[in-house]
Amino acid sequence: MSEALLEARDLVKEFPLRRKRRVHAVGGVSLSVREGETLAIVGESGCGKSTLGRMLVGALAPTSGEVRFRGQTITGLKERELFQFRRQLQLVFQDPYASLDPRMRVRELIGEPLVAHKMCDSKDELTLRVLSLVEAVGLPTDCLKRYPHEFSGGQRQRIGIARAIALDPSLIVCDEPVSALDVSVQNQILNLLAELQEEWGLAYVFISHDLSVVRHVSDRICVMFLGKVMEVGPTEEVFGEARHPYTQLLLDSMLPLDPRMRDRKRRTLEGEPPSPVDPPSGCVFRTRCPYATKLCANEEPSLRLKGNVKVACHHLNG
Amino acid sequence: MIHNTLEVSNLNTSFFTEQGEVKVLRDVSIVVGEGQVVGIVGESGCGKSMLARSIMGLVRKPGKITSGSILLDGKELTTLSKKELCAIRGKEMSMVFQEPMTSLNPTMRIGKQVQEVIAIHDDLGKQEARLRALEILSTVGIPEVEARYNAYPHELSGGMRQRVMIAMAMVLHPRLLIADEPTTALDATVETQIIDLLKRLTNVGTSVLIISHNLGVIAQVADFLYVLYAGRVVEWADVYELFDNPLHPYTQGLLDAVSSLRSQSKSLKTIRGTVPNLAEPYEGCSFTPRCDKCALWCATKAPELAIVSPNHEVSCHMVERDDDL
Amino acid sequence: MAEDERELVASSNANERSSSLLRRLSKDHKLSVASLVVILLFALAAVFAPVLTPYDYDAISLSDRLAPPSFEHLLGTDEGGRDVLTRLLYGSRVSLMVGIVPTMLSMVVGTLVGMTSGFFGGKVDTVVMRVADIVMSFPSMLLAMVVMYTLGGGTANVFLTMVCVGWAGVARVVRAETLRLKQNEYIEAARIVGVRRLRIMLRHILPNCLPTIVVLFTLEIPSSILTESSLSFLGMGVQPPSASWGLMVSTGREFLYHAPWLCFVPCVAIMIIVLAFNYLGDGLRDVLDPHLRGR
Repeated sequence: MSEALLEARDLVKEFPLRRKRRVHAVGGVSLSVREGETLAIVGESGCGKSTLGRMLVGALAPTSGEVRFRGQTITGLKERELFQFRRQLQLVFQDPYASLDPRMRVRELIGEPLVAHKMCDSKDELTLRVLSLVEAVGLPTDCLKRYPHEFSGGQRQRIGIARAIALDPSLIVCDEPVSALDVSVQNQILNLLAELQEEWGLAYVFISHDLSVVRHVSDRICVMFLGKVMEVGPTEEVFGEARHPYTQLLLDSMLPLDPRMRDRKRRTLEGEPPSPVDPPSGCVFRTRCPYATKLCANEEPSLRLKGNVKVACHHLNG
Repeated sequence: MIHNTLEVSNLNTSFFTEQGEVKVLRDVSIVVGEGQVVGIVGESGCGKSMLARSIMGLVRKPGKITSGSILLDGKELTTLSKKELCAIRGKEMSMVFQEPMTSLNPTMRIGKQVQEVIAIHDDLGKQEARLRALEILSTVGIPEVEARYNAYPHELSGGMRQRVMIAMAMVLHPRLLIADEPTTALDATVETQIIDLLKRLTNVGTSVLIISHNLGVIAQVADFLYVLYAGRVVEWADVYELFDNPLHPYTQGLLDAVSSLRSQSKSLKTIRGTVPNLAEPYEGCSFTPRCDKCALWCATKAPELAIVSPNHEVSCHMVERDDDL
Repeated sequence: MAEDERELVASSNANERSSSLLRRLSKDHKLSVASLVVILLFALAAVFAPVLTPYDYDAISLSDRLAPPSFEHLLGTDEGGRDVLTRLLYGSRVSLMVGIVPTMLSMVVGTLVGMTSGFFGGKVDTVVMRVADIVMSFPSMLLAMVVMYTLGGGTANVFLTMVCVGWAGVARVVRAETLRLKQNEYIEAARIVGVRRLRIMLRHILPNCLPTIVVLFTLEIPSSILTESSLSFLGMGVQPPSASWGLMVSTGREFLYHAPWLCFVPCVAIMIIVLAFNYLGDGLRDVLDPHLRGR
């Protein structure tokens, strides 16, 4: 059917520290995204999802592994060669306050990608393009001459989204795009992202720690822990029956909106959060897993297919 | 007769900027009964952080409490001097913040930081203070306390750091603990543990005022709940009552938004528009521009909090009240 | 302040986008505005010196030597019978010129070097910074004296010396600012969108550095004035019969007992102008920063 739009193979990212130690941020991740689909990458802080997202758009060079866009390798390219791919791969940031230059007006901010890729012949054409983008993201047309600090968090996020779609990309990595927003505004932005996906034919890699958001937006979900993939598969199947102990734990940790459920039985984590500088041998989750055995310490589980879902666990019936 | 740990009555706090007076809190009244957990829910710009700071006496220029009373165990706080407030803070009321990394001193070992709180308020000897610190750190769930005592904040995980913050806040057994977005910066799996910990604090006689924008957190832990919008309390109720029967359009909007996310609906419910700019004063109900249920007079006259049923009050013109029936 | 408080203050301040720098300065920093006025007065006096005084700065009149302040000579006369006020006014030209021009040049050179070094990093950065360190670790007066000694006296050489000495401090500060600004997410955002590095430097880093650079400028000026005064004092700067405040202090030293005003007057003038620039710099720093909300 449709070949992969974006493919990552064995991506590894290690950051050097003093005294020859390293932070193992991402430890060998492979995944693929198809045209028009939304793949969610879920995990808690330190799991490497943001680092992974940056590598997927070519903003960060991996220590090893490769990323392919429509079959062409984009890792290891020089800045000049990577330039053409930037039109296809974009990023929406988490922090609507930090990702916009406070000294630039909206017109310049949204126009910047268009100017960088010389997509408009005249100043008027540029303004027209910017206006249509502004309308597409639901901002008032008189906002062009204003500065970021004059807008609310949700509106700033819309500016960020307008920038990301300006080049008409094929895939956008959304790095926690609604985590910094209030709930009522969050939904507005999620609706916007869904609309844009349909109208513009976009594929999303949606990075989030919020499972309820993820369930709503994604077709497939990839669960990460300490730089490795624990489980990956169609969203509904993973939510319906989580196979990996970590996924089960995450699902259990979703807070119900019903005060009557406050004393419900919950799974808990064992032990201490492991450090990415010194990850556990074998399965990285074993120090927190209630089902860990000797095998888990000796051998790293590989992703095995169980139905439609791939799981990395030695004890799949646990 | 229930004794109230905290009674805030008609509190007004304003910021005096170049544009004039910006009213951040308007006629806010909150009651935290003995041994209760009370939640304050609101989004950005509603004034919830200012409420916490007002109670703690931490409002600095250009902000100021302009009127109202704050009674802690019957003692009036608004008229106290700086020195008197310092004596109370940490001892009779304390606060836990959102970001444990920036609230803890990165160059001081955690055990020492807890000891420091004791040293400021009590005259315990060094050994005794250390024992107390160890005890409280163990109570909040720090494993291997003896070993961890000498750790620095950056050596601990986010959840552990928050526990240290709670330990520092609880070591002198305050009557009131204010928790300002205590779990917002934490992972979901840790969040549940911290929420459990906060619940247990009432067992030692501390009342908790928890502030959060996360309805899920509040649902898990609070006995009563106040909804804040644009500096005013728009609804308050017993937590079960509120989730079963939200009456204010804003509360309904919030609950709808969160629950639509969890349902399988394709389009998510939203509250249209944005939070109002408090610098622009509004005569009527601040929620009017975003409200689907408002009438003409909502824009001209601000509604008052009125009793709807026992343990449930709403500030809305469009809601039927007890006295109307 | 908490996030929503900052938002509050910022959103209400945002409505006055049209408010000029001057207006904002005048609200809370009256001393800065007063300083600005003083500086302007000095500048005007320097420009209109020939109009303001009937005397020539080098009009020797031995019969009038060392006359105390009087109606004819408001600030007295010096050892050559020249009117002190006149020499002060003409001297202010030199002092202000030397305060402003070399500082501007130092700022330009220092900014270019510091920003490029900080932005591109790597080996070039290390080398450049070591050079800057070396320049900075020499006592600037000593270095200035060495350069002046080799090149000889005269105004142009004073300028050159000061630029040679002054660029390093600026480069360090600008480099530090650049490194800090580079961390900002909007820089990464610009890169992802495809903006070339040079353009990022000019369009994102430079404008955000500007407040620091402007403030540094006003604070470096008094330093330059003092350097010039010191050099002239030591006989290495402006040569007689040209007037310069430093020179006046130097020659006035000999007559400290008999004619104290010869030394006193230029000293006070130096002090006033240096203080004025310092206060102006302080005020500008306060006013320029909150405009960028949050920090």
